[in-house]
Amino acid sequence: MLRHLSNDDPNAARKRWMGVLARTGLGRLEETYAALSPVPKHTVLRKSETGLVMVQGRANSTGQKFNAGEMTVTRCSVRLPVGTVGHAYVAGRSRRHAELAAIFDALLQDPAQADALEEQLICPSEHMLAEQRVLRQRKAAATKVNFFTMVRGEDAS
Amino acid sequence: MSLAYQPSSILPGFNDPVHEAQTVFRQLLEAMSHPGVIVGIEMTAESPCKMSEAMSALALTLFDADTPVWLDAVLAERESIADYLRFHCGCPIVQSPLEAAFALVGSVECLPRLERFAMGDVQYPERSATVLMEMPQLTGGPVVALTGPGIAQTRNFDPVGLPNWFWRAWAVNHGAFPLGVDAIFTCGAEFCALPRSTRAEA
Repeated sequence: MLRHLSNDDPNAARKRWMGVLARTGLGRLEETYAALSPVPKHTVLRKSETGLVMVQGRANSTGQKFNAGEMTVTRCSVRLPVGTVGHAYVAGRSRRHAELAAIFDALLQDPAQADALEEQLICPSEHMLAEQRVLRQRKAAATKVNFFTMVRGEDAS
Repeated sequence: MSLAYQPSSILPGFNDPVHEAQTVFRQLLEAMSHPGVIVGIEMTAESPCKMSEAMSALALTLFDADTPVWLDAVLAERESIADYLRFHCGCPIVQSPLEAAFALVGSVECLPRLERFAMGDVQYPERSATVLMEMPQLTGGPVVALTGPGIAQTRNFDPVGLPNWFWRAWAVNHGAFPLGVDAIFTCGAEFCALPRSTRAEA
């Protein structure tokens, strides 16, 4: 997956953790949430809702845009008592996943909690996701087939 | 840091968006088909400051990405209102009343002249504005008699706070039928409607 995160993108850090939260398993989010003390009291601004988004692609990242297909996405927005708003867009239909990801997005914006969460949740999870990705790529690479075209005799005569 | 880290004052929308918006829409149909009849709504969403429950509920029900919305000076002054509408409805906020499909008027004394809103055109009379205005009270003001579709004989209508040119301008608006704007008057958790087909006599 190509990511265009440049250094001058002010939202680069947030994009990174939102991406990690969206891909982290629900079990892990639940665990971390249960271990939070105190458990944050959040207000739901937009209840978890499931819908479709059109995924666009570009051949080789440079060609014409085309619609690759629709995917199911669940989104949610919450607000913490201090006023920070967290958003989440998560693939699939898990409403709880979207809600938890939104809560963590809000918490990570608070500098007082960001470091601890980064250490407990984001970094380990990012590591695990990277490992899984490498594994998947290796599996795919093992099935690579090279095609050869041999010169036939017609032109020789 | 960037904007994303600032605390926000956006309020929650409908608790159950689909069913509540459908209920409010049904009540709006009721109000539109019986001009001048006051309809009450139950609102579960929180309304931003300066917007009544009825106006917020109608906004959440009617506005979407295809409806440009204009806010009058009173409502535009509060950044939280535009934020609320953009977040929950995804509607564009426009600067000119003429471009708006819906106009929200926070103080009816400063209601712009009706000609400043889109009247639609002959091929597309539905491309006109619906003006929602906050009223001090929906009853107890000077009485006008309404006649027209949805009213058997006449119906008395007595909102408080309309500018004194309003009923003259309404006669012109009604005269332009099928063109013209439609009006919705809101106050607290109640509202009533005045479609362009209604004739009003003071």
